[in-house]
Amino acid sequence: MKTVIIGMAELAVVKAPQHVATLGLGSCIGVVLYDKINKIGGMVHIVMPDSGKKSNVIRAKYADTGVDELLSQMVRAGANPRALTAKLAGGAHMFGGLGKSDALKVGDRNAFNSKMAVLRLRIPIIAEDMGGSYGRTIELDPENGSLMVKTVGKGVKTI
Amino acid sequence: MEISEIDLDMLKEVANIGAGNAASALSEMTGQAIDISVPKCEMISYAEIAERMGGADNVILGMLVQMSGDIDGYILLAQELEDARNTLRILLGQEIPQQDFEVPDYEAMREVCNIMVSTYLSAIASMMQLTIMPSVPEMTIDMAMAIMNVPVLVYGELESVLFLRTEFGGDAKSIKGNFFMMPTLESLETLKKALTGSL
Repeated sequence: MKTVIIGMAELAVVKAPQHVATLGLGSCIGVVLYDKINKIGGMVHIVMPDSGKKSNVIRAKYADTGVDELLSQMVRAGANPRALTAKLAGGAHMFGGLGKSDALKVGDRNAFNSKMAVLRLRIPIIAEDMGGSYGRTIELDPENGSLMVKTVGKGVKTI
Repeated sequence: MEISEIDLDMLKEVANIGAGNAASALSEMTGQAIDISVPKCEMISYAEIAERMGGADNVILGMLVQMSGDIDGYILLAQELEDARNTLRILLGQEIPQQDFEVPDYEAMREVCNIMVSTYLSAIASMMQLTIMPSVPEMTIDMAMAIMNVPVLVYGELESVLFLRTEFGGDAKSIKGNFFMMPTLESLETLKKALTGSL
């Protein structure tokens, strides 16, 4: 079955054997929620740390709204909220050598706010691969909950 | 804040001033004729960014310069790896093997970037009577989507991205690449005022 690929500020929920992936996370965060009993997995590609409590935003774009939205779509797809675990990847500081560049340093805040959003929902974070100054492509296999993290020149790993 | 059609036209003019100057500097440096496209300036969606860059996980070279002074923002030079190797071949007069870039290659590319960005900005600055200072370029080879993280963050509060792109090259033997200028939303206002004043 084809892998569902989500773009920036998008989310998707899949059931095994279907996979879900996102390509080239920089400072963005991929938050993955997984229900191992029902083999349901979800992924959201978060771009910015905070929606500023504005209404009418693309919910998947922000850490504070994206994780909530992912949870509700997981539950709608039949996931048990008590069975969920989370993994996070991304949050790099691209072009990290440009030290004083505040706009590009959003990776850290994205990472922090995404973790907070997951923990606020009382979902345990069981693995993460964040930081650095390089891009990541991630793919979730809801058969076993493994998350593959691919980089350019820094290898492939599974968390 | 929204970016209007008028703003987009204005930015295209600004880019045109800079790009012509950068192309002639590069041409002088390499002894090659360098063609430049008419700059394109548009607002594009997140989904379109990947398409324009040959796919989200297409591995490219990105060189980034931060602007400060009267204008804040970034300039990004993006090249396909094959085009970057070709640039080095023209510049150094030697073949670059089909493998990873070495440190001396980075230095040569950094020099290309330095010259292009500083000539681009000095043309804009002198025409508009602004002071714009470029930083030292920072380079990386990575997935296109991770490199295009820069405009996404500069325009993070919008739901689309300002794409102000000038293409260099054309001739197969020439130097090919994409040049993006990304003034912050505040600096867009400064540019607008300066352009009106300089006409």
